[in-house]
Amino acid sequence: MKKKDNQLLRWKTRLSRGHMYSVVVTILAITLGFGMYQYKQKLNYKQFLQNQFQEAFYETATYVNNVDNNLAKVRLARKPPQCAPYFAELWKQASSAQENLGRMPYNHSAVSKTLKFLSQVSDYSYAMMHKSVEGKELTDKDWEKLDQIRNYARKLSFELNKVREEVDDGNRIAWGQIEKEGEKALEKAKEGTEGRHIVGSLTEVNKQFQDYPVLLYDGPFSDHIERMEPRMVRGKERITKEQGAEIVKNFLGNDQIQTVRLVGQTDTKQRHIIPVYTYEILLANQKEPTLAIDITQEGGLPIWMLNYTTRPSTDKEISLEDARKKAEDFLARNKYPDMKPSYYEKVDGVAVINFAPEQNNVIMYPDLIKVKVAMDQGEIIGFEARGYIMMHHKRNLPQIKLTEAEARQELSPNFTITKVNKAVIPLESKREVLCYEFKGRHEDSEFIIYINAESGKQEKILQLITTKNAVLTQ
Amino acid sequence: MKHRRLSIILTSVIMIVAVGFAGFVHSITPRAIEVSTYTWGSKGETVRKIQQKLKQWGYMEESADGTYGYKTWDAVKKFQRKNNLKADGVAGTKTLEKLGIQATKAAAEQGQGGAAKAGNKDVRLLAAAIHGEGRGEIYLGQVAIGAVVMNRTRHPSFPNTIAGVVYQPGAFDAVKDGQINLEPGESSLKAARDAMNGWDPTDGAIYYWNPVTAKSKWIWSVPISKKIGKHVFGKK
Repeated sequence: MKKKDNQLLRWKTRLSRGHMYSVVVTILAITLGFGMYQYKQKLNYKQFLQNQFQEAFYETATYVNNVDNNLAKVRLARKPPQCAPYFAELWKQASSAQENLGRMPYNHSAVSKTLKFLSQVSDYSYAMMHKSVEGKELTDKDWEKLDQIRNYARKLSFELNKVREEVDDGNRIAWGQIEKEGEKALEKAKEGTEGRHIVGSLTEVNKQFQDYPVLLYDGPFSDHIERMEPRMVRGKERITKEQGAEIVKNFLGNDQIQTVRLVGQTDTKQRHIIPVYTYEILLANQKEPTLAIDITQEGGLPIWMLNYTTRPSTDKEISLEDARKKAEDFLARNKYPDMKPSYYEKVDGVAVINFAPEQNNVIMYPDLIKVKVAMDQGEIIGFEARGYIMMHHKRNLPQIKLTEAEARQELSPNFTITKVNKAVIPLESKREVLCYEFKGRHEDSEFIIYINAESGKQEKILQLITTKNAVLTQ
Repeated sequence: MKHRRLSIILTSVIMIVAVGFAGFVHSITPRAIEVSTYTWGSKGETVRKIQQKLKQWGYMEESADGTYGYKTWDAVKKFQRKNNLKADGVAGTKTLEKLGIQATKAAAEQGQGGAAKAGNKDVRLLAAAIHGEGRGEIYLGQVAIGAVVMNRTRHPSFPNTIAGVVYQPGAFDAVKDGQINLEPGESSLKAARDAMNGWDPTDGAIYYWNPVTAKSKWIWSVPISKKIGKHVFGKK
């Protein structure tokens, strides 16, 4: 014990006299070594990242080049079966270019138009591929659009090649700078003073698309999707915010509500947006507002509602059958007639049930309404009717040209039918088609197959996933 | 003597700086935080479940308020003693197991189960993005963040998949600083499911930003359509 004390004292005196160089130097060396190791690691990671970006850049440039080439080739292959492979190629190349461009650290505003262009080229090519596969000739309008696209693809390819040449001349793309200053450079350019030249900047490329025209075609990224008008509310009478509050009370049931407060109101000057009043509701027995709802300013229809009150967890649950009934009652009380439940999903004590209206025994799948039911007591805690508000109207259904028996001929012989309906379904482009809906089985799985009731074309195959908790189409 | 002392001070300073630097490098490396134990001050749905079970089995009388206080701690201790667990009043994995409660991680997986089987395997990813970006937000604000991600997947100027949108460089701060790797809470998972099921409090927005902290001038050129919680939402 005493010996140890003495030793400690010696160390202390040595330390106070500054004779502990060895210790200090060792610790310093260790820290420096550690720091250098970390620094080296950091450089390695940085290099790895730069390589990834660099690869994405080369890929983008190559794919865009290919898009340009294939657009030239397809112009020479005029018969549909010869066009199809070029469109398939274009679909893939443009999609890969878009994917790679999205992986680079460009500021969104610097590449958004280029990304959109590539999405649309891919999407448009896909639509044209389908047309060609079906043996249909492309119309003059289709070719005109393709020429337009080609014009832009050429410009884009040219700009990217300029950057690529710079890189091949030994310049490095300033990824770090692009990440940090892309935006600043863009703002400088906007203010009129020339931004510094950053190697690899695509701001100039993006500018090529300033006057890029609206592209309308049969695909999910076509510009018509953005421009669709909500059929249920457009042109309807405008309501006041007080009227909106009354609608809220009727919709939810007045006895459930302490207060209704307007918390937001869409500026009606904004384009492509459904103007709404947003209300926050303080429910009975609650201290804070836990329900929000949007009412359209035109027509005064609820577009969505969410009740996010924390619910005590319980083991007791109502049956899905009861939940469906509660949802049906709710819809009937709020005057949504003829709504038929289609599929449902139950997760964590909450069921989401999808409803679609019927017209002359034809199910209208585009006009979807979703109702959320809490399984503890069957309270309605969510409502979503964007599909209904956008699409619902009395349709002039086309003449059915195929009998059910004829439609069955279009099905695979391995498919065992369990149920047949007629339905209007939305394609990805939101174009609606009247179909026979065949539910059935193949091997161990359930499927729904849609056969166009006019042309006999197989429009869609959905796989039905049935678990204990959900019946869902995929 | 004087210069010796000076040299000691100098070396000390250098060492502190060096160690501090190393520590800093270490501290900015993102780490996932796992919540699997509950103790004094814990709050939330799992705490509520713990309290309900304890109440059900007569270990406590107070109502389940979702806050882990003294009464809960005491009841947990009693429960642990009864079940031959270490009676420390901390509800860890073993205690939760005995209570028949799945810890946050397990609950998350279970919650995802139904949807995952239904093909929505991205629920977990979307929930992580929501959690990283807006775990301090009101529930509606969380659904709104999820809805913006969903809207982007359908927009031509963005990647077409949830993973593509979430991991797009520079798109989300929570991805940049690694907060996306945090375990999403129940609220984020619920919000992700609502957003995937089509609930969209933003009415079609593809951008959002915090008006207090947003530094970009460009973002203010986006017309604002809604304000929810701390964020404003809009599309161009």
